[in-house]
Amino acid sequence: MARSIAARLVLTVPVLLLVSLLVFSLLLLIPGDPALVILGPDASPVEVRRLSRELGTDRPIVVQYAAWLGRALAGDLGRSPRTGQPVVAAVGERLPPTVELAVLGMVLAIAGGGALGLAAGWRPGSLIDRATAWLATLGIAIPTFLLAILLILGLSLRAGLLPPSGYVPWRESVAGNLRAMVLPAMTVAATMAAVIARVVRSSVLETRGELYVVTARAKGLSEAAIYLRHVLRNALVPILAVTGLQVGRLMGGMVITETMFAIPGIGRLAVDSVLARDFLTVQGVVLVMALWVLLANLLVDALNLVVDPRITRV
Amino acid sequence: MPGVRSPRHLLLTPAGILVLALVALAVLAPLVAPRSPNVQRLDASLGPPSWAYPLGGDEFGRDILSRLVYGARVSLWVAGLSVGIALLLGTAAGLVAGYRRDWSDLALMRIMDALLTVPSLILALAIAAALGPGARNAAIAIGLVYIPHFARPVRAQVLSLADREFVAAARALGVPETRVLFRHILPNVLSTVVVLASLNAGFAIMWEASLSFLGVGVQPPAPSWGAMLRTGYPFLEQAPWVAIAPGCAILLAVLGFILLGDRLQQALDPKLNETISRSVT
Repeated sequence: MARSIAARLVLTVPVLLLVSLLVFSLLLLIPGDPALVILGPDASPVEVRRLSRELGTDRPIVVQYAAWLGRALAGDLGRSPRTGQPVVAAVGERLPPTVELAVLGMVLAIAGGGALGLAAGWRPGSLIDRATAWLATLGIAIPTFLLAILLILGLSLRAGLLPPSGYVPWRESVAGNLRAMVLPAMTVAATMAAVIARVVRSSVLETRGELYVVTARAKGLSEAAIYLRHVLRNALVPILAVTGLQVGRLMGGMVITETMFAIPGIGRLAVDSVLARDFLTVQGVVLVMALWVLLANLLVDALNLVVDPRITRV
Repeated sequence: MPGVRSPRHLLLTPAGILVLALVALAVLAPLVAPRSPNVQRLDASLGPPSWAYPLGGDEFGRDILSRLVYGARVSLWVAGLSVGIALLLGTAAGLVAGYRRDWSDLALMRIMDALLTVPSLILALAIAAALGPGARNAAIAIGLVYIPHFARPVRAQVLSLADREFVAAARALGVPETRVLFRHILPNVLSTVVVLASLNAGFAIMWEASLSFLGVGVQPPAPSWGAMLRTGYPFLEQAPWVAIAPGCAILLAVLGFILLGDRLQQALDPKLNETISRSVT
């Protein structure tokens, strides 16, 4: 198992290199002199020339990329001209709320989507099956910001159950932190829950007809035991696969969710930096998110080996 | 096969009607919209829905319904341009990669992997920001991000087609490679491409609205649904319709294209399910 994971790690190296090339070329897309755009119109010519030299925009692109990659590998992504803070530090500082929101959202999506999918697959054609099909389509089509607005309006402004926005750090109050995270986590979870519900439903439908389920029933195992031991366990494989595929989408949703709920995470940092044309920080956020997606997919592949012994290599 | 109808009948399903209505609104906007989308009347500012303003007035007293109607033009234009970019480049990449199966396949697919590794909204946000604001740049950003959504399923199809007898027969007869690719393989992946175009048009509308909502895409006072949401959001407590009306318009448009894509898939290509649901993430 360790060997197949190691092989998988090696395969991610070229992808990682290409991602770095993609992140680097974001600066090439900016029309005009990147140094001037990054520093803004008020910058002095001396400053512009210094940043140009630092970015190496006067040298050939290949040399620029090599220099940038070298610095990036050493953990230096430059310094934000907006705040004066190193980009790596700024991104690291904003990471905890994002990680918390992502984990809560994923847990909610797997629990909610899994439960709906199991219920729907168990009784195909029933009311709950049809309702799940509609909910799942709606969950995929609904824009994140509309869902957030409806949740804020319904559960916060009208019912007064939860705070409409804001972030409470763990250290200040655990309960307050969780209360503030309920609506954002629901917002982030919706699409993933919808996709999971669909996949689990079809997995359950497929498993119900398998010979080992028929055997289990024939030897007198209770329905609950069949469900828990055979059907549920088989549904784990597609759940894992979908979770891995949907991580990127989840991160995209976090950008909007963090902006709407005023959560100081890296999604919010991305939007703030984009609006301030602080491209060095944008590069940092894009790189961190890509790393995150790669890691999540590696983790999913490793978990697959544990959940399904039939899979021997990734 | 039972249940399979010609694509023409699809226009009469709820999804087809939604998409047709959207196109009609966009084309006929000046005739359909009750007012000008940009005329401000301060006495109608944040006014609730009424006979004169069926969906209410926004913060500048502009008619929300008229702005929604004109906004359909922006949404469809961005969706069309971005899907066009992704379709041309993605299909070409998928055809070449799947047919050649050599280093170009390896290289192209690793590029697609890299594009898929960066969350698409973040990537679109960064590209749109680098290119500068505006509907056209938002469309280019979304189009570039969606290239793998076409390239991967097309490649998968080409891979299986390349082993079929009719392709082997054409080759054995000495048909030139490019002709095999364009006359024998391309027609067989077109139905996949049509399904993907519909699905991705739906997501492109959602992404344009997202970019505009975040302040990067279409800029005010242009009537873009996402930009309307952005400016209406602060008045959520006083006048929820200002934000909810464009939100519902986006939802209906996205639903229309996604459901139409599902229907097209059932009609044209029932076996495709797996590849598409894997690529649209």
